[in-house]
Amino acid sequence: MKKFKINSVEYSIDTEKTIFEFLKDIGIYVPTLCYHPYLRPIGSCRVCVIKDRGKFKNSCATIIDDGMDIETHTPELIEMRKWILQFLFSERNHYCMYCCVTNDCEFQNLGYYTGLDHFHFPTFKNIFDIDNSHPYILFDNNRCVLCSRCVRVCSEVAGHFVLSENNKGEHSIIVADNGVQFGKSSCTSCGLCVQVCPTGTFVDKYSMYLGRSWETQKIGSYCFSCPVGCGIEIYKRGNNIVKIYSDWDSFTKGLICHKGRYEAVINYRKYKNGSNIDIYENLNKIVKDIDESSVAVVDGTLFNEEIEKIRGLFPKTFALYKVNPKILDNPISFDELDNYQTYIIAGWDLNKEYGTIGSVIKRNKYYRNCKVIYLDEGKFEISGKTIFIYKNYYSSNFLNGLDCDHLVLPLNTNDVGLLKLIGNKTLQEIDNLEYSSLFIFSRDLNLNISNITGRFKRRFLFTIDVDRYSELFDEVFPIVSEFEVKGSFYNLFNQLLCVDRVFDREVV
Amino acid sequence: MKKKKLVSTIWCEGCSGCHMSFLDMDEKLVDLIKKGMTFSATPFTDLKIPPHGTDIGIIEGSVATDTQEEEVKMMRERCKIVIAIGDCAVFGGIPTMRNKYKTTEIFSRAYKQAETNHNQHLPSGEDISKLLDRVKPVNEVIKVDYYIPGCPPTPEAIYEALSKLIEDQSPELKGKLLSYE
Repeated sequence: MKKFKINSVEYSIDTEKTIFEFLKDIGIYVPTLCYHPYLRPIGSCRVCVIKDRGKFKNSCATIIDDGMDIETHTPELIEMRKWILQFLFSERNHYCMYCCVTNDCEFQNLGYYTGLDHFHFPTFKNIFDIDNSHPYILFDNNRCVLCSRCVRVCSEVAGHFVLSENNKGEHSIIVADNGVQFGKSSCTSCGLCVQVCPTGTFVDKYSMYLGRSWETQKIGSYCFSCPVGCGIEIYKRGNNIVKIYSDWDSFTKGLICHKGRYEAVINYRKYKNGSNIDIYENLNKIVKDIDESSVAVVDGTLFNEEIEKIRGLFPKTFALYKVNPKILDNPISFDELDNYQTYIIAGWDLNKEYGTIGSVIKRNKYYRNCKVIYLDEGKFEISGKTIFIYKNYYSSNFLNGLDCDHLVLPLNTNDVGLLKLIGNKTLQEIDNLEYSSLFIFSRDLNLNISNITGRFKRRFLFTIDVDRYSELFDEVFPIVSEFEVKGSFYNLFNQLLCVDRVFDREVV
Repeated sequence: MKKKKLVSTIWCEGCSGCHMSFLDMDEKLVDLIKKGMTFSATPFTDLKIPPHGTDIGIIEGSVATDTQEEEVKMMRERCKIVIAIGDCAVFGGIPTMRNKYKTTEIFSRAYKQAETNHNQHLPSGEDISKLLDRVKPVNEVIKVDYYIPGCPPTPEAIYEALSKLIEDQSPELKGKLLSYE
């Protein structure tokens, strides 16, 4: 039991807590800048300064000790925080008025909180190049306060180890891969640096000037871009997605990849205009002449509810898989994925696909010294608790012989749900049957189906990108995107995730 | 009777928006005059040089040329209290965007490479003020007593500051009156 005082009031505590966490619990606000609740505190900015028995300490990184006598808001401390901010505002370009994050900036808010009305020290001392080489992120060291949140999130959470600090003193800058252009670095574009940056140093090119956080509506959801299903927060304004951030409180604990953060937004904006078909609501009004010779083909880019609806409408429904997925007897959870000693990866570049699983493996490789094996490396030995992560072309004999856990990465988001609802009835079975009309349902038809379509008299496709397949089909119908329906899907950990409707679209 | 406070303003590297905001006080200007304020070099009189012994000197705009440096120093000499008003005077504002480049680069872009400039002559002459290497806020040249940030600051913020100064009190801007944009 530790006994201590805060502003002359006595408290006691059993557990190990930092001063800042305890102050937050009892409702005393102390400003912070480099501190982030999901990152390791380093206490570098000193904005959260408090006084303990005559000594100034940073509250975010100091653990409460027995006998502490903490002062939080004396005039001396308030004045000191103001001067610390003056130092942080000096040397570089911290002019709010022509910054794209103005009015939505933690650093600016601190200025308002402390009542800063001018810069005491000169600005624009060193001028750094603005790096515009990255496809999604604008990177400007002139706005940096060196809080190192981006460096910590890139290593501790995302496991990419791309960003680091370089040089000393006033010349300190954040660099990618020790000094190459951001766009040419090994950055995988997960965008977590943008999400944690308290200034305008890292900015999303696709989100700037479209709306500040407080002008947007925040909707909690799950990412539908791949079968991991990371927890996301969608920032919506009018009929547009301003940005997608990862949800720190979801089962993926803040992880996200470029597909969920950027590509989903870009694709939504590309196809958002016009009125489309909502399969769940009004498919039966569009498709009226279904007879015994009609066959429906569904892939894993649809939600469970949509698959069920199609299964109810058509006499025969088949599934479309790139390779046949499997439901594992004992599916592992995302948390368990963090606890293996050896990771064997076969067939995927986890920087490009399933980036979240790649992040987990990369950070465990560094922080827990885990063994990571790519299968094409030849001979390998398994030691400790091992997981085999693979594309689905390994026989069950081979997998059983490995004597470790398995995780298959299916191609489409809801392949597991499709398997549960439709089963293994795949397109190959159509060969033996005589059908005249083919209806294919897919948000993003990423398989080659030209050898199948030729055998049907009438061919219809329901998809988002209408122009892409118009040659192969008699008619292509536009359907609503994943942001415009309410539905559920199974991710690769066999979790049922429910997604709310984000936008109301005029439907045909 | 209490002596009236004499107010003068100058306009350096800025857009005159802060002077507009000053005029936007509207009927509150009458209120200030009734409380004991009178104007010299301001938009009301169209005088350019503040007289000696001015009580409150208001500076709009940042310091970007040698002339403006002189003018700002003259304000400090002639005024008892100097207020920097608006983001340009307080922080440097929009004109500081040129601090990323050298003055030669700026002249070349504006007078030689500009699509609409056909004769491509650099302006020259003794009576044209020279650009400083770096645009500075007013407090890098002279001591400033009070700051009213904002682009432009609201008329309420200016009124709040002036009405406190007339009564010889020290103004402090808080909440919505304090703005960086």
